[in-house]
Amino acid sequence: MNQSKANFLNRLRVSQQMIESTESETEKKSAINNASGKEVLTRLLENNRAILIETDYKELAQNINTQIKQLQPVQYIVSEHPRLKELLGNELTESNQCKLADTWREAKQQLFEDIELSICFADSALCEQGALLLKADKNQPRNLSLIPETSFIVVEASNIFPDLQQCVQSAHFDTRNLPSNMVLISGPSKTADIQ
Amino acid sequence: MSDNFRIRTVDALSDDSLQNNFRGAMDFLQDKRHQAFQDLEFEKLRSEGADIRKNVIAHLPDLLEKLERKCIDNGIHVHWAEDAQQACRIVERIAKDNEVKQVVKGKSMVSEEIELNQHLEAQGIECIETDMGEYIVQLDHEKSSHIIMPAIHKTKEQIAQLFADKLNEDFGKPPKDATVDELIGVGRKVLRQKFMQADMGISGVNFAIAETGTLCLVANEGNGRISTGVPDIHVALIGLEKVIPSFAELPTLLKLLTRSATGQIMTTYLNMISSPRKDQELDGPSQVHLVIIDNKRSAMYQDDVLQETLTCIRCGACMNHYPVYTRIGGHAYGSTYPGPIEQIVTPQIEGIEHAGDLLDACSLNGACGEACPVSIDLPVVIRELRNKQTSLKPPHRVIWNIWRQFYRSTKRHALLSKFVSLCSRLPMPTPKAWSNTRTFPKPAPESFSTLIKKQKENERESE
Repeated sequence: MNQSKANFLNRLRVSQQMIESTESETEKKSAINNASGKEVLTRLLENNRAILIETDYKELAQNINTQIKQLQPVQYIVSEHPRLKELLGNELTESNQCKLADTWREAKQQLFEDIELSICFADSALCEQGALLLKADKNQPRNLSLIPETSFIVVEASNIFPDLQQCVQSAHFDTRNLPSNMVLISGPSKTADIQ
Repeated sequence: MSDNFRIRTVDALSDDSLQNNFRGAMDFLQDKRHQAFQDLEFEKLRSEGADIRKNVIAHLPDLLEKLERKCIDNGIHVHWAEDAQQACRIVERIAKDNEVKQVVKGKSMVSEEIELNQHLEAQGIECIETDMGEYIVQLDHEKSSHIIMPAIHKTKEQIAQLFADKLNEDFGKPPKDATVDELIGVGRKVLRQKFMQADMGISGVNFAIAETGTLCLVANEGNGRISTGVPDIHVALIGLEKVIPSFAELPTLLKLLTRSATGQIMTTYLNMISSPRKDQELDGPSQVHLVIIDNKRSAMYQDDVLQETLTCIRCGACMNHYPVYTRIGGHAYGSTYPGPIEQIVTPQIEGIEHAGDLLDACSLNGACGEACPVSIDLPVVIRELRNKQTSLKPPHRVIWNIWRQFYRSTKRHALLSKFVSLCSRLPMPTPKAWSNTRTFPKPAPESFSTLIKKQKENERESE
């Protein structure tokens, strides 16, 4: 095994000295400023068939309740993300809200078979990419935003970044302590494989 | 592999439905890509992308070691595979050690390159493709015809028939005139069941970030995230060239990749995996393995010209813009990476002596080089490979020398064209294999050089 690694790297190193490296300037300015940013974000998300709902903090929970009432999921689940809990309080409809089991084997079955809707929290939104950044941790399992048919994602307007570049360079993005999984989401799943 | 390229090409050219599907899809992709780049300065972005990729090549061994170190720190197991067989055996051993029965696979070109499915199947491990297009071609025991849209050669009627023939009735038989959404619905039902049962997921990687040990994957369907996030074991396969230094380089390459591949500003998902499930986390794989694959890439690295092949980000723009590919489709090539990139990758992986007629398919029109988002000079690389191939074949050399005698002198060339045009006026049988799909060109009444001569004389007279 280690022999393979040594062979491998040796073959590369033999010719590496010959290659010149070209350092390019790293400073890049985004074309998007804060004013046009939200417009771009909205347009891109809607182009990707995401549904956008703008709300103030006070009416957030109420707004979600209205949506849940319309969609009537058999069961729905809310992420335990601390900021999301703070924002929603205890105001969400309780009757069809459920909790995930303690083991992944059982929780997986719930997500695939019973839970039709999930509510998650995005750390930031990126205008240029038209995407939301979600981080996985013990409070917000990565599959929550993935397996249920419908996914509600809450993002705060104060966490909108012009682009991925600036988000990556910000304090939001601690490269020394990355979550096991992060995902950028720009809309619902789609395929062009059958035409 | 490529020995029958000529025969397959003729077959493809006489298949009208294939031609229509491909032409339509490629026009669509070319157009979408063009629109997606309108908001950006393509040339500037492209040179940034090319610089990033060239820097990676310059620091490749160090970056790979850094990537390994960071991954191990994060709890990811790292394996090094020198060739296809070793890579397959590594995956097989991980599967066997963990008593894996069902594998789900996200889209991965390198897994096709090493023929992993076939290897695992021979070991009694079922390996299901979960990308909708890949699933369709797997169900029909075919190879994909396009790296981004694997089932593009099939119409929806053909797919409805395939589902009706091959799938268990529990999933509902699609009618002959099923809509695209109905078909996708059927496919999803089958795949969701497989996802529930699978104990191992296999995926490719688009960019592996050395600084943080993060594996980045782009996808439009949820299957990529499911394959890497639902089963207990995740095995990621990566060609050694896919490493990048840090997150700082990601945005530029991502912009170029999604726009070039499908004309999208951004794919539905960018999945970034840095470690297995952490303490107290409910989901995510408990084991993540990264298999770094050489498979002749280090040999490409040792050649100054061919080395550029390694800067490829596998977007597929070169094939979407390549006149030959848009007409014959991916199957004629008979290997993993079709189109111009295939012409340079396959001969280098399988050996130039096996490349056969592949390199001759290029018309040196240069469209692929213009489309490449990281400025790979594909025509130059193809020419270099042709040179290498020709030097192996003595008859080519003789023919080339004769050709040169006629083309280096104007007089001899004029003599030759006169002779050829005379011959073509004689009643002669036209070669059938050639004229089946083409009309035989008529020689111009006057040769180009005569026309120029005349024009010069006219000019002189008018002065």
